Amino acid sequence: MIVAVLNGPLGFFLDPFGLRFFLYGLLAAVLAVGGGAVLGPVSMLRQEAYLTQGVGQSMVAGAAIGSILGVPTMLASFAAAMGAAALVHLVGRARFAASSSAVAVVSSVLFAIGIAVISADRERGVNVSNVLFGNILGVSEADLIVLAGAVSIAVVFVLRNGRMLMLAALDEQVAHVHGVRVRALDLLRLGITSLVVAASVQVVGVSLVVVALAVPYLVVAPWTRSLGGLVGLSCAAGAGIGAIGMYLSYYADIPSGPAIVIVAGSVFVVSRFLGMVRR
Amino acid sequence: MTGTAINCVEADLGWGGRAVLRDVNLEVSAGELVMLLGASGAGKSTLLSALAGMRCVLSGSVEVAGNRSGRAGFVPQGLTGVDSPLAVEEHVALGRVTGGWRSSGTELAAARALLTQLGIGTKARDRLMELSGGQRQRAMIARALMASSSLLLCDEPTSGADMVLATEIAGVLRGLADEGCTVVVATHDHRTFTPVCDRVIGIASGAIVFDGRAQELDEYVLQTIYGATR
Repeated sequence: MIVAVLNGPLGFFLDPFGLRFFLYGLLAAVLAVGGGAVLGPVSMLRQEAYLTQGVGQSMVAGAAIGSILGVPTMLASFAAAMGAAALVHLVGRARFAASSSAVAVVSSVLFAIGIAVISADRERGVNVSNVLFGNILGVSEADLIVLAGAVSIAVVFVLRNGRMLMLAALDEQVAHVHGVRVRALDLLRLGITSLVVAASVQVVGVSLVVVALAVPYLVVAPWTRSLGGLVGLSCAAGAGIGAIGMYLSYYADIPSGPAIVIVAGSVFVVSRFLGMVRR
Repeated sequence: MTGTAINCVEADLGWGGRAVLRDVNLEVSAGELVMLLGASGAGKSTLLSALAGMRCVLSGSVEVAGNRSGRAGFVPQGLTGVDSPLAVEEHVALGRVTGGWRSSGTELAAARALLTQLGIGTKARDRLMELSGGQRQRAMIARALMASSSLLLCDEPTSGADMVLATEIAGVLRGLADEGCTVVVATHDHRTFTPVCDRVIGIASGAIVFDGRAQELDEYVLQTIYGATR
């Protein structure tokens, strides 16, 4: 009986653990999508999905230039993400251009620079596909530690400041008058978001990284009305999406990034459909 | 009415070193409902910002008796965050700025009490998008009261409201003033607020040009405040 269960349904879940890369990949996916989701509610209420996507794209330049300079990819990607986020923020604040236009210009230019550098220097072996769509096979213990560190910073940041972040997301002026240091908090949040995005690239890739922040929030939004529920359930949904995505990646033999995104999209559709049925 | 809620003495107010309002002398008693009138760009928002504690006092002094941290409650022009999934009570509870990632039971209870006081206690678990325009505005007033129950600053609170809704909002603010809350309303909608306010401050050409009772507000005064732009 026990053997039958182990060979049957349980085996489905346990078999992949025989491979170390799957265990590391699963942990990375749960950390990246589940942990990244802690920033989702505030980012999405600030309508920053496009910004997150743009910051992700900008990291291609960081990865490419980092490979030439011999700087670790994650560090270089983080620097590029921070630079892009700061540039977009400053352009938006200075009202040179609409925020969305600033994101489009900054991210496209940095993305193009990254692709150009990679194409011009193929000998260094930066794999464009891995940068764009993630490479779960390449997750090392060091990557996991860095990812766990980045996610921990994000979680602690939200646990300490979640209410103020949410008030600022709902109404910046009210938050300011009520005593929130909006600009400082916002810059800190953008920095931490960039850190999490840079650390998540190995798992989902720059072109899909926005899913980690956006979809878990969108999945749970119809089902909770409390701030605690939004944050907690987003993390749980993100962790679930990351884990299921890894199994899909393993059994369907497709890259982890697209697998996670396909699962995220499916869960989103189901959640919204059930939400409509309930109404 | 007891005590002074607002005291401005020879205050120059402005941004980036450039004065928008000069030599503001203003004393408002606790529990007064004050209407700020003036053409667009006259300086109503700058005065409101100074009272809200923003760094726009160039010289002189502006003192307000808000909550314990000296903060006022603020009702903004227009409504944001309507599409958020949060319940109304969660929106309101966020008005009290504290750390943490979720509102405590005490904060939510205080929010529900304020919603009940403003007549929408039964809507506490609804989403903002499920409320009518008047109910949403009451929720925003409740959120401001979470920050301070002694000083409420409102920037065009009837902007975009029809006559019935505007009258309803004005009535709510009058009720709060009657309970001792000092209310300052920057508005163009003097017809709605004249019947309920205690005092009118008129601003034009970078200075206070009228400071009197609502009953004194006539065509001549309005002409002085709005000039040719009216």
